Amino acid sequence: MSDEKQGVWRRPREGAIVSGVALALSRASGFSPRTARVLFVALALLGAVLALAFALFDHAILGRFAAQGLRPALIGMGLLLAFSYPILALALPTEERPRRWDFGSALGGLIVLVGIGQALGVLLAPYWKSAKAEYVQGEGAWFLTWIGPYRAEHGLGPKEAVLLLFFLSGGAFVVFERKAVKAFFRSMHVGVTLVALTTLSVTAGVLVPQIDGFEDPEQRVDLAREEQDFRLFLERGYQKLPAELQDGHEQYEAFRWAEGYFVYHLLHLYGIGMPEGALTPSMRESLERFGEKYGTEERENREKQMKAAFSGQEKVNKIGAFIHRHEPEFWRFFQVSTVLDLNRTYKSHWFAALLWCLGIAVFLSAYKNWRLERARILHGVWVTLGWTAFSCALKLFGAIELPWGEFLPIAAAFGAAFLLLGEGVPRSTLSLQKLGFFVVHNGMLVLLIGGFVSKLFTDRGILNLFLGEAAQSTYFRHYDTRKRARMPFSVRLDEFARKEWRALNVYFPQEEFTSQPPAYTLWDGRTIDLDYVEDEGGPRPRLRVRVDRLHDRVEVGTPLVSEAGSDAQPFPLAEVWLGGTEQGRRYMSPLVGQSQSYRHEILRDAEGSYRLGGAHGDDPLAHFPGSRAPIGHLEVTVVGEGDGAPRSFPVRLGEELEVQGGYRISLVDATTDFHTHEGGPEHAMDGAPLADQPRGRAALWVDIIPPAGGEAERRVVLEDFDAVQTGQQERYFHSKVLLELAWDDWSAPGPPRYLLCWRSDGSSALICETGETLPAELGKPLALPGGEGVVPQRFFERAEVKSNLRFLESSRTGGWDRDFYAPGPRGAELTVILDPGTTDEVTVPVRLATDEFAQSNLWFSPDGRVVLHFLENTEGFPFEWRSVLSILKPDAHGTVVDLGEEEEREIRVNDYLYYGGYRFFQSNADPREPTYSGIGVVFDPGIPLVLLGMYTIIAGTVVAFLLRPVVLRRKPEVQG
Amino acid sequence: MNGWIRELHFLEGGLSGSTLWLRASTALCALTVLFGAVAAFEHGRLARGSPGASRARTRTLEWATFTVLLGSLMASFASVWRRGIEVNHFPSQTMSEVLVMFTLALLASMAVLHFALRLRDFGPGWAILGDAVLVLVALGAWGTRVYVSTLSTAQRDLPPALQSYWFPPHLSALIFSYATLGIAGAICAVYFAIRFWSGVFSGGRRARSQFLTFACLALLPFVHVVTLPLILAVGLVFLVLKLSGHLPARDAVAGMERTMDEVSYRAFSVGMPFLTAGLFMGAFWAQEAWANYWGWDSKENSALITWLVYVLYIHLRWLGGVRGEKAMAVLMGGALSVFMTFQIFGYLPDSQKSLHRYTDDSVVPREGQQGTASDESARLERDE
Repeated sequence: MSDEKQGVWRRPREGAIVSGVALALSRASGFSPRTARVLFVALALLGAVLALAFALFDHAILGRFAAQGLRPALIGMGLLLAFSYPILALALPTEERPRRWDFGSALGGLIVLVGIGQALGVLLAPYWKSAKAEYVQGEGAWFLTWIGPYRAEHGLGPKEAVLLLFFLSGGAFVVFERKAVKAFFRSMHVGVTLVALTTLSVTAGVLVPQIDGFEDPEQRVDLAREEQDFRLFLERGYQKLPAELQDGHEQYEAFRWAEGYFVYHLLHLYGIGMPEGALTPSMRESLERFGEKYGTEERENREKQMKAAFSGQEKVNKIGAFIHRHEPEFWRFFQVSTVLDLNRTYKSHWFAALLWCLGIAVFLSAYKNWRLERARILHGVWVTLGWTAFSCALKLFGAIELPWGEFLPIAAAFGAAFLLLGEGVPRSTLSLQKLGFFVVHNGMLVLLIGGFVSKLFTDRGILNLFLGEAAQSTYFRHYDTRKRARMPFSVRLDEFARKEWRALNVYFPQEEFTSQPPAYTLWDGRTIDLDYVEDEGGPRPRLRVRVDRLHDRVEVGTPLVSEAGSDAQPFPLAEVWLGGTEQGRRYMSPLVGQSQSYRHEILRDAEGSYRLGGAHGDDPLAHFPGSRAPIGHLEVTVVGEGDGAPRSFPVRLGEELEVQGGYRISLVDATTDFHTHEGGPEHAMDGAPLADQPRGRAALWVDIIPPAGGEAERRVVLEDFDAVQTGQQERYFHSKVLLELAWDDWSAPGPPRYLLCWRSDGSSALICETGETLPAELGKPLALPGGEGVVPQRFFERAEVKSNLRFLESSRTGGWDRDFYAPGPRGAELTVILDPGTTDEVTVPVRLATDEFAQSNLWFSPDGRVVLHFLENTEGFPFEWRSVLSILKPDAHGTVVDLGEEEEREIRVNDYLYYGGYRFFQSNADPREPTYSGIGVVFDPGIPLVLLGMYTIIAGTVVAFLLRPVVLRRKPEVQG
Repeated sequence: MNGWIRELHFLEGGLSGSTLWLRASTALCALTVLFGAVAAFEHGRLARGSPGASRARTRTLEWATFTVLLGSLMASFASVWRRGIEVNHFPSQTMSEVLVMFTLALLASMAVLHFALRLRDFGPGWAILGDAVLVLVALGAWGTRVYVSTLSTAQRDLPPALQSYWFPPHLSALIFSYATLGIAGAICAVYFAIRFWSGVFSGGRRARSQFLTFACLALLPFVHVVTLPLILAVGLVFLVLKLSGHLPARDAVAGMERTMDEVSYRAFSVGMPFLTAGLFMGAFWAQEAWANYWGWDSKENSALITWLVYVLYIHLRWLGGVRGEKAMAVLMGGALSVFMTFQIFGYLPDSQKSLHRYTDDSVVPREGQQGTASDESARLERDE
């Protein structure tokens, strides 16, 4: 076996250029060559340790030194010393015994290299920052012009001189010791150690939570600043810290929770010793009834979910206690992780240095016997032309997104690489026995090069666009609103919609289940069996719902009402015409008590002059709320308390509620017209009385006080807002307290109240809140304030209401699907089969829409046992977000660029828009802002290279492992 | 098609068709274990030349065992197919769905390896090894389904990111590779168990090696459910052999170890391309979904760690010529990494903010919430 294969490091031949100088130095000093070697080794090690220490602990130690010029100079001197040894050692006599690399020395050598890489990364970072600023500006030949601004800001001095010396000495080392360098990287022990180190590094990044925004190269945790406030944080808690200190501790909060969660589970393997959720007998009884209605599988799933919820909260409490007991250890670990860059592993300089070493090793190993002969150059030219033609074909078929001007030079560069590298490779390497691994190695190289290009040039951020607003060319880099970058064109949001999954809730009102029924997501052809009953053949369903067809657009007309209802279940209803015209037809049912009014049954005019409700029978005055009537209801759920079912509390401002778990909720303030201001929602409290505020979106401000008087939380609860689904819930201080607000349009303060009353004897009247009775005659406007007339047309005693739905066909003729952006309701055609498979089988066609108007979203079974509720499910994941974008050039008029087919302008998750080197993808949406679309922006020229590398690696492994059995090398077997 | 689908309603009793098929497959798994154990016993009798043992009898048992395995595989496939119809998407979103897919892949891998390895062609002694592996795999599938029965089977809607044509190939490639590499790891576990007990009963092993072997098998976290029963079962077999005077000679054990090394390598060779393809298909998918082929998410990193461990194995084996204990230890490490990526990922520290936590019922994935800027000053000055 040759020395190179064994990783032997031999000195170069005597007579090298600098050997005369070095010999003279050795003679002049009087030291023997052996002594000189020892001294040089010691100096080199000292230099390497210095460089390593200063680079790695730069944050904690040198951050305290004000002399910024001292640090890089010290690091540079260390690097210079580290490389002085190999240069001067050229003069020393050749050793007789060759050196070999083993795992230990390989590890040591690689650690030194990685340390040097970290040091270099710290030193070169300011230069790259300057260069990238020029690059991001897009001002042309940035690689020539960046030096000027850097020199103006920082100046050029000793540090640059030291760096120059380092690069010269390092370059000399690589040149003169090139055989040793090649032997080092080609050594099996070094290769294996490299892979092992890479694995360990990636593992470190998994075992240490990475900081939020670690992809931002400037994102750091400032330990020096936080250390002095750590005690304050422990005493007061995170939210009491000043805003500028909260960010660092937010990182620590996330860190200690993640580590505590992991360690706790490590100490309780297989769940041994962890709390188990237990169900009470009443819960089990309820579950049995639940299973009879919804099926055995639903019942089992519900039981598992309930147990997981109960045990989950207790587990969270135990983990919290565990963390609290070991707070100092977690804090120390956080400090060490920050100092060593373990919490931003993948963007650290040492990790990049490791990947550099890996790339060099892969390259040198793959092209070990490279030698280019003249005879093969012509062959290589043909290969290059073939490759260029192939890649042009890929471009024509749309597999490559780059414009021709950028693509052709890259393709040519690849072709040249093929020529130079490929033709110098021995034929044996291209045989089927070795081809697979050669291809894999080349794939790795391309991937690493692409990754390096990505590291240098990637810019990523978010573009916040709103419907109806002007185009924008500025995006927030790394999702930080303080960092802006400008694109050479503008982007405008033309369309945006978020669609939910269509679902069916099935209620059994007589069962009075406390928990939510399952929401069955619907699709064409789905069949759902429910309401099981024991039969002689076993359990059989009494209800079957089949989805015939779903519709994206439906027109909800005024329902068809007739006096054909059941005598057993009278249904009083009043038909009124707003504005006196049939287009304003509405139906009003009587209010059921003070606390159960429904918004669609309360009529209001646009100016807010009145509120009109319905009443049937005697004593209409009982429907007017008193002065202390609640303005709404607050549904309170405290996770882990009781059976998990929400409890409803009336909302009266100024009162304090005692809810589950010992919490108290103080009802502070409310508004009927919530909107955000630039300063945040806390500034959106409207000073006007509730009665004078317009009816927009209601909101309630509460103070949540925990048991035993701990830290209180001020929270705003929005109407129709699911904090859990939007992720907002986990950001609350008391995140286990879930609140939902149901505003009562009738009893809350507002415009004057009126009741339209009718009786079974045919009489009717308009009752004012003051008690005054006014006439209410059919066909004549009611004496209501304001300009819009309300004319009662008919009164029903036993109304039968049929929905009036018209399903519309798709209007798509080309381009994107405009129906997706239509804001109207969506529909479903169902078939309900009662008692299927029996002689009593009854089939009922049902048409529903996701609109509450005229209860178009509800279906009631004739016997009243079952209610179907068709809805757009906002509690789960949305079905999809889509946006349609336009690209505008920044001239005076804003020219819209023609991007070809309209479909290309529409983006969604898994389908982005590419233009001008930028990629725009659907990043997020905010249910609180229906016109907002978060568009992710990525500029990354390394993407095609990385993807090409990945495909190449896949192809190589297929060749190596599946197409041809590996030819085993006849190496001596190493038995363990 | 719609008419046919309409007829596929849930069976009586409120149990879905997929659940019923799964239970049938699980029952057949148990039967496979039984048949495999009987086949191993008969192969042992044949190897010892016991009276009454015949090649024809063992062949019949071999085919019966394989037929039952095939039946379990087909029932498992039917379960997955029905589940796909019931949830209207590729059934690999919830943990229960993924684990059922995994057991399908286990059985499929075993069916493929049964022919690829052809251990029975080497004689009844090697056939016992083949039976042992088959029993182990069937037990693994059965045990996994017992665990699945404790998980919720509720249908979950696909988040937008999962609505991609990459979903089936990415999941399928990875799960098949996990199954195959898991089988390779199981063979390694059997190897170490045999090695340990042969050292106990026959000697010839260094104390340090014995201690390390036992410690790893007994103390390695997360895999005790496999390694502890295995070491006990193999110990029992060795005890029986010792008492009956049929303890294998050292060179026979050494030969078996070499064969196991080769067999585990072949199983690895099948799985490695699928692991590579599955890993990078995830990158292609991430590129389409988030224009970010590699976000250093902990799920991606866990899969990368697994891949790197196997790359380490390749380099040790081919460049270093390492065989036997060291190579098998690395292969077992890879199997452990597969398990960590597959099942333990959600507990890892960096996973708490992962975008990939779709299978955890208690976690709302962060998809669609990354970088939400609308709660800050989202409205910029207008471009003039």
